[in-house]
Amino acid sequence: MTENNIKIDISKIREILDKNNGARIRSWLSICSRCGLCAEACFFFLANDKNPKYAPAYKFQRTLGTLYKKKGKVDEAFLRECHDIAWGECTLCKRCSLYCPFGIDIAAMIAIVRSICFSQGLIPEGLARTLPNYEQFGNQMAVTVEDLVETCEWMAEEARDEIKNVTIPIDTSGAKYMYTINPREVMFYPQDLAMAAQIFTVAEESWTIPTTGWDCTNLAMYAGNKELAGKVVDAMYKKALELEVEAILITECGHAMRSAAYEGPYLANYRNGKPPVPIVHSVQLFYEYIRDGRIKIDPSKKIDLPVTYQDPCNVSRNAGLWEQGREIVRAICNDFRDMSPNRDHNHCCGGGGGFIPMGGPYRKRRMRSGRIKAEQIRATEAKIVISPCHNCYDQLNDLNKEYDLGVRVVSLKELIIETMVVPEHLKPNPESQNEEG
Amino acid sequence: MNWDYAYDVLLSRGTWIAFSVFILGLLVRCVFLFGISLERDRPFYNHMDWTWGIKSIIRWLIPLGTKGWRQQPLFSLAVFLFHAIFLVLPFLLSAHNVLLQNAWGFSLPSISDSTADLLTIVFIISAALLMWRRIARPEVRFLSTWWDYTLLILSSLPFITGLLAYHQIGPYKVIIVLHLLSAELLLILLPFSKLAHMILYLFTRSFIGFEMGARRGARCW
Amino acid sequence: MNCPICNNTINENETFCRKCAWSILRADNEPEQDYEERFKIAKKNWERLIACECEARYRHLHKEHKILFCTDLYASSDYAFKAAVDLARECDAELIIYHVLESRHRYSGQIITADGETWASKEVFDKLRTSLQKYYSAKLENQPAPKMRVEARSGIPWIEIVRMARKEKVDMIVMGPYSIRDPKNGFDLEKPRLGETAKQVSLRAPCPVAIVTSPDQRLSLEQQTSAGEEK
Repeated sequence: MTENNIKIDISKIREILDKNNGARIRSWLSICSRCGLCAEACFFFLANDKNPKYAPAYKFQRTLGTLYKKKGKVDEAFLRECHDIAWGECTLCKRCSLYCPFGIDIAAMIAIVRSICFSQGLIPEGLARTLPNYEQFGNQMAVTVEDLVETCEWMAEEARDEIKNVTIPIDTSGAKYMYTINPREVMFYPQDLAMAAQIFTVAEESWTIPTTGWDCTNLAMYAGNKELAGKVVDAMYKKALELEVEAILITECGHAMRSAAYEGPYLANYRNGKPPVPIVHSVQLFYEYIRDGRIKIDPSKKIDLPVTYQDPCNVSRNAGLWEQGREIVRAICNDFRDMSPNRDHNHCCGGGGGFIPMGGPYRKRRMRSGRIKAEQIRATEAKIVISPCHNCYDQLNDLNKEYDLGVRVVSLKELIIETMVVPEHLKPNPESQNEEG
Repeated sequence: MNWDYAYDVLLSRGTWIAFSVFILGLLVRCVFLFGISLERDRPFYNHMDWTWGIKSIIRWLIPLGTKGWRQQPLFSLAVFLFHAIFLVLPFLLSAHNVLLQNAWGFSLPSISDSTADLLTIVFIISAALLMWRRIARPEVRFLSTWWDYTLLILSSLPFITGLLAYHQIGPYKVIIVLHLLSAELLLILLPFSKLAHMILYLFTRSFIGFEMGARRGARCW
Repeated sequence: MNCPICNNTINENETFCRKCAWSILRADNEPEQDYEERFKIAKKNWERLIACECEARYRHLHKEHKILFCTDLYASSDYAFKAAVDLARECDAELIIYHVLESRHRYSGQIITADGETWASKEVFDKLRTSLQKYYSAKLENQPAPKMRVEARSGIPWIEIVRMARKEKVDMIVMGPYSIRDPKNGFDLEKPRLGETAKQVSLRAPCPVAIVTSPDQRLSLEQQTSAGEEK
């Protein structure tokens, strides 16, 4: 996609520039005083030997600032540079906004640059390849409904070995939660579904997996294709309304939360900016389970190895769930060690913002910029890293190999399953197994 | 060149022009931004919650009140002193109040001249620190444009010249004209440059307060 | 005490487990009555086993037999292929030749092929299917060949194999013990092992799994075991 020569359509660029040219963008672009406080907030800057070209202020001034200054009259070389900055040097983690005295939302501006690049057909191939899948199958990995349902059955069968009567309800109207997942769980980590089913069964939750709008990830959002991103998120809202569920539950995924709860309403043109159905993240729900005793942790099974918690940007900093995550970890582990910085000030793992799906061509950069995270983890001397985000999970696994960290990367579900008490009546009784099959 | 004449013109007509451009400019800019914000900045209004907005503003006004400030404490302190003195000192100078008394027959409470001297020197030192930081830190030097340096010099010029004039150092008449000229230029430029952050700060900060706090339940400091 | 086989609780006054009937062999001093009872239990267990729901389900669904042969694209799996072909011929089954291109970046559609990493496009699969077809039909030239079908997917091998086995309701999976991850480091016959894929498939498959090793590997496996590799 990016190899071919592109034809620049200035009117399209202008249209996007104009649509976004509101009071915020104007203020941000004009009052940035280039104080450089954002630079040290950015892990790209820190990981690349403090090269000033990675300072967030430079990134947005160079891209969006120049685009506005030139009123969209730019050449291909410049757009390619924008493309490189918007995807290769920024994960939209929003950490810089916490360090800007004016609170300039730099990630929002880089997102606009992404949609401008997209309008000119200039996006990383890995993201481009997911878009037709969204169009055709409604999910990024071209998983068919048949495959989804089959995998759910398979996993329910496997889960019944651990816990009696586990089922994975499909398309159940009136359930409390509509559990939306990452297609990666179906494709690569089906055990994730089995684990979720076990937790929900023990907690006696009323839940269901929908057959449309079940993919809560939204790579179209990261690809800058706002129209498609809106469709993706709207399909989810519509399904939730159709099933009359109380809330949409988001699996342990970071950017799914960002898409469903925060950016989605705008992408899908809900003028009030609020999702039509409440959005709940797994971290919040699991925290409530443990707090309310719906899931009990067996003290003898608590993890003794040193554990650290990776705050996914879109769960902690951008969704305010940092304490909930920690409470769960404290409940299931004896030796919890926090990274520094942590909570809402955590560094992005380096795989966010679409970086992981961008795949091989960006791997080298991803590993280089992930150095900061690797060093943070090493400093805690933890042996287990928990992250409630698929993206972080993949990136941490890669970092683990690259930097030889010797850690085990797990999701919250995994450790909850390991440590929770299975009530007597849910323990599978082997006698009946032969009869029931 | 007739310095006395220049002084008179700058003081009488100059201040009028400068202040009207300053106030009208800011007003027009704010009204304009408000106008376009209604359609294009829905997120600002949709998630409005002033407790978060005010928290966001106040936090960043306290020196070392945020993680960002604590990351660079010296800079934080310099910024705080620079802004505080810049905003307050001109109103508390006895010399300015005398002019006010003469023109409009009222004056604001003044501080003693020695305190004013001290504050001015503190201001100049913090301005120097900001300038030094701009040059010394590679990332800030890289980001800075000539306009950043110019505005920093321009905003400290009234204070430097004021100090020199008060102590009668150098050619008094030239310096006092320079004092007036730089101050008025600053006022005229203010609404149209990044210095407009004087007002816009409140809006951008409260926006990020709404955005992070009211919308996402997270902090922004 | 608990039964060492099925973990069922055995009462103190009993000499055997009433659930699994413990052992096939008869102890010298075992009373006739106990042996008879054990025999009955074992018989009943067997009836249960063949009447088990999954068995019933498979019986009526299976008009045709299917053998799923999983290839790793190296000649080392030819032994498994031989076994699969024999089985397919024997029971007149359809032979599905299956390969899973591994996705390294589990988020993106990038897969590992012989030419290195690439995007999972239709061309890649077509090319793979063609060469698989060519390679394996050449082996069966001038021989009675079973009905054959070539399939390819991308993903994590064991997951896709189990998924395929469930979807096609195959009767048996035939595969090699492990494969080469990195062509630069070939098979180390000194260090035989059961690969992750074979392990997971044999644990989770919905049908019997035959893992066919090459004679060389078997030999070294035996040496290893006798050298005290196992704990």
